[in-house]
Amino acid sequence: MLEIKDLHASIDGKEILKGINLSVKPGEVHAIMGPNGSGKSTLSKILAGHPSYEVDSGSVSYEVNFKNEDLLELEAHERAQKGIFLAFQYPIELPGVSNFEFLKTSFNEICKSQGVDELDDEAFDKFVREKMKIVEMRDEFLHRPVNQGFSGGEKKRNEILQMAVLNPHLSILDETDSGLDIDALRVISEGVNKLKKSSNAIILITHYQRLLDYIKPDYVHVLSGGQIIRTGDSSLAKELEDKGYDWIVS
Amino acid sequence: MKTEEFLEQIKSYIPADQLGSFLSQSEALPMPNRKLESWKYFPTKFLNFEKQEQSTTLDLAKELNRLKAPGMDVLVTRNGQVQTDLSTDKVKLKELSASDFQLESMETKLDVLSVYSEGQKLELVMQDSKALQIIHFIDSDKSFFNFKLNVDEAVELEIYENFVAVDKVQAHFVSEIELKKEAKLKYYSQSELSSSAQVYTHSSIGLSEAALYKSVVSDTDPGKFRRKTKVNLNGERAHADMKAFYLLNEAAIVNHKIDVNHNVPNATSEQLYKGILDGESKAIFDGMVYVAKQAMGTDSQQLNKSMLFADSAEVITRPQLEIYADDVACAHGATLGGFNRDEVFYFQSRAIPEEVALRMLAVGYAEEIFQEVENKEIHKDFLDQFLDRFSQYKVDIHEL
Amino acid sequence: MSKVSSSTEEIVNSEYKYGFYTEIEADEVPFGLNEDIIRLISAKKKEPEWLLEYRLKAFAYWQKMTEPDWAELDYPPIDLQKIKYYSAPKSVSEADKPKSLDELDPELLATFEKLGIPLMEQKRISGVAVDAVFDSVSLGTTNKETLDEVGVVFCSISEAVKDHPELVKKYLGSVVPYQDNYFAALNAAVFTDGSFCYIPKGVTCPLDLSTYFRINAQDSGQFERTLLVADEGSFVNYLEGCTAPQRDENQLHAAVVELIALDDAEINYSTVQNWYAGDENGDGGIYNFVTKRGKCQGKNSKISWTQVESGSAITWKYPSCILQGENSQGAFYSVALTKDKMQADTGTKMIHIGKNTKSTIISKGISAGESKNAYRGLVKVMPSAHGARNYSQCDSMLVGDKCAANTYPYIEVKNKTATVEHEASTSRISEDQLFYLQSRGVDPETSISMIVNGFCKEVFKKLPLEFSVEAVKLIEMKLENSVG
Repeated sequence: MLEIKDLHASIDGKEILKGINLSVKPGEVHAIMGPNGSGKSTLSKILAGHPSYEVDSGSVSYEVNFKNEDLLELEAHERAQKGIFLAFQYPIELPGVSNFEFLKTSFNEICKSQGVDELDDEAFDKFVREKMKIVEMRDEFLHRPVNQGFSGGEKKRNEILQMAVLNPHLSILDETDSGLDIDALRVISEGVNKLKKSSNAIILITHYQRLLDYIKPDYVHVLSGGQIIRTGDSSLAKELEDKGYDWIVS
Repeated sequence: MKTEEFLEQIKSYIPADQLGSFLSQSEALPMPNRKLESWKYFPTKFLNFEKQEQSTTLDLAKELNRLKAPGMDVLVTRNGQVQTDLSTDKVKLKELSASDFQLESMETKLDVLSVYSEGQKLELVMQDSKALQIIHFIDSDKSFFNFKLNVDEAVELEIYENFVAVDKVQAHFVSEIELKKEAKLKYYSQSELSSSAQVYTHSSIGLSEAALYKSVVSDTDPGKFRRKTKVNLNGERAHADMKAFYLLNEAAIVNHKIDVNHNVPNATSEQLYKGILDGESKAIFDGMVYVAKQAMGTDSQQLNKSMLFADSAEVITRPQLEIYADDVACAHGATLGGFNRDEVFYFQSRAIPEEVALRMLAVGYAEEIFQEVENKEIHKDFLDQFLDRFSQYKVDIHEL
Repeated sequence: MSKVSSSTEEIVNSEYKYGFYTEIEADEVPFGLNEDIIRLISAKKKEPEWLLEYRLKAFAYWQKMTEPDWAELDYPPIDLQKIKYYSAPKSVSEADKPKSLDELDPELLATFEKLGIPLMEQKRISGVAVDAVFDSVSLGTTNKETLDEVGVVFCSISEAVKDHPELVKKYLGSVVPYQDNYFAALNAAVFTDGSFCYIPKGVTCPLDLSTYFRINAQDSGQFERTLLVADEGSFVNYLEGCTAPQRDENQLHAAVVELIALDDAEINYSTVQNWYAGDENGDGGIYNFVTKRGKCQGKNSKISWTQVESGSAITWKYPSCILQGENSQGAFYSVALTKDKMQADTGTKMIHIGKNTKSTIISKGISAGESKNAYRGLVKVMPSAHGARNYSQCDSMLVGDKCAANTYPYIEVKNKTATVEHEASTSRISEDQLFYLQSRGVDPETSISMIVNGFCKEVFKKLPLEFSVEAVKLIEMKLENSVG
């Protein structure tokens, strides 16, 4: 589904990704771990198409509906329309923009791009309330402004709600577990697991092993200094937890 | 304008028996001019008291039908005179004289004018009413209207004040509101002014112990509007919550002059004023928060945010703090800037293209103020009027 | 009243250790201000015709002006006729000016040594070139040789007028024209001396440059003029220090400082101000009315003003930056401490004219006693200033309930791509913070110093090292016993 070949990228003239190679197939869960500053967030932003980051060289090809797309040629909203979803590490607050409006517009834009009928308010309301159950989110959050006054855990939960509503092919969860307590972690992980399908794929970016106890990865990659230096299965994550990053980086 | 000219011209608007009092009260005061801090930026060139020929006349019945908010009593004024046939009679009106008005913070001769003029001076007695909509129609030359309102202990009231003015008119409004202990007043206001209309409001609100004053004002069609508000927190645990929004285009000017005085300990206040400017419009935010020596435990927050959509528009913001007590928490801020990349990217990452995102952000920007209106119908009024006026605006990310 | 503020009732005259007076024979002009006095001053300094004309034009203009009263300051009117506009130690008069600093009158040398600025060869502070100004005249400059090697001109304005007239003529009044304000016009007419500095293209000035102003003579006013030009690609750190004797009457200090930075040049101007502020009753003390302005004329140029104000009965100063060159940056970092009956009305003006200009304002005010501390700043973005960015943060700390902290920002924006952010907050030294420190064994006075220091840290960081150490000590000393 996703084929990253020798990707080099920088921000403000500083090179962060120094040749990333990664292959993700439908039904797979990949975990990307690494010390701070290794380029994990950069990778996620580049895949989502954030304009502040520059791709210096390399390619990213994305297969959806049996068609191969050059992901780097697509604009951010086009990538989202084609099923790429990024759950932000620090979700932004949007005062005055209600969660409901935001989700509905987003959902309908994707419908439009796929030639599917859009949903009106009533229909979407029914639809979204069902999805809210997946992340155990209370109804009152639906009409509040996006993320405003939400606790860290509630913001992350809101990201997963969006994931549930938009039904992406490739989800990239950027440090979704950071700042979460045990209960929030459990709810979010359960939500993600419910959304896992054989036709979609998930990239989990995380610093800690803990999340991977809940969401089992098929592959674990260690990112350091802008490159993937080791790939293994879930046991690699356990080794990292025991020995720390220094062990693998040195 | 020159003092002599002014004094000559206003004679047409002041009853003979009031002229003497007006002159003596205003003698020591200057005319509004650039040298006064609070008149530095609002153009005084429009202030002119020559008699004007009026061309447009409003069809009051039709306008009333359009503007009427359900579930509220209504008081209609036209050119400073109450229209009893169009108003509900639940609100009793008591005649007052100029000396019944406190007239605090007189800075210029203009501040004294309205209560001595031919305009009505009334007290609104709201024993039988809990929600009142006041609609001011202004379609003639110069008009003046003055009212006082006392909100009794633990009474909750809602007031919705609308201003509708046609070309070239000039209107002055004075209001003095007293909130007794634990009284609560929710005040909402909108305006529909033709671009050459001028409206000057001069309001003062006094809060006693544990009283609450909440105001949400939206001017999306303001002509030239100078809103002067003075809030005196005179009782402990009193709270003033003031929100305003302005959407300005062409040659519109809105001047919010606000004075919030913390005169006693443990009172709190918050202000959030936001706006979008296009064309050659101008917004002036002149907000002073004064904390007296004895006002320990004051908590006051003030924020003014503006966005410019055109280089020919101008924002002048002057948040001011005068603090004489040390055990207080006071903060103010002013920002100016457009929507940033990260906000827009959040939408794009959710499949929403840039133009749609910017539009949603702009509506959200205004909605942050409108959502404070606790009355559903009035909230819809605010949002509808905004959306209607805003459809003419083009939103960009202002980046280089 | 809270526990913290109740201790402000103890007022102690914290000793102003620079309050001494130097007994020295001085060459002075009679009291008063008129055209003759100006001609007399110009003649004493042997000035060229063009400069005398400039003074006279300014004087004529000044006579038509009225003293400003828009600041909130409360002071008895200054009788400008009761001031002597020129006073210089006889030994340094133009006729037989000593060739080197070592040859100065020992009284003068002793004075500066007492001030911590030894002028004699062996005792000089290395790393800093000091131009010592005593009343109306510059005594000379230390470490000149190092500067001469790289072509840096650093001398008194009087010398510069003679040795580099083209430079002075070109830039004098180009940033603060005499028409600008009342005190600028007065200064242009009667300025006596000050520093002139020119950094040639591409030169990073090898030493920090410093001018030290010492007011000594009674009834004299100090009207110095500083002009600093940084040519393309150059860099300089400039430090200004000043002190004055403790007196009963007030003295006037009306200075003008002009900075010009050309393409890619950078000027950092720091002031640690320790004038005599008057006693606890508000008698005596310096009236400090200064116009300081920097023009970022060139592309990518940078000017920053860093000041620590802790003296002065009345302070009226708004160091400003005119951001004309593309990508130029202006900064203002200030700590203003007022106590007893001091009054400060200070702030900055950042005028954005060119594209992509940036300004940063960080102002920290501490008021104690019965003082008044006001921040007054202007951020003005002209229609041509595409992409202008400003960030301002003004924080006040009040100690006690008899003082005031007022903030009056003016923000005027006429360009849609500008981003402006202004924040202000007031705080006090909280009992929680004090208790925390004390529970770790720190005594109350030191605790307060630490907290105030933390409050001011952002600004102190911007000072050159020697100055930042002095600044910290100065604030501690000023706060001594005026906070509990």
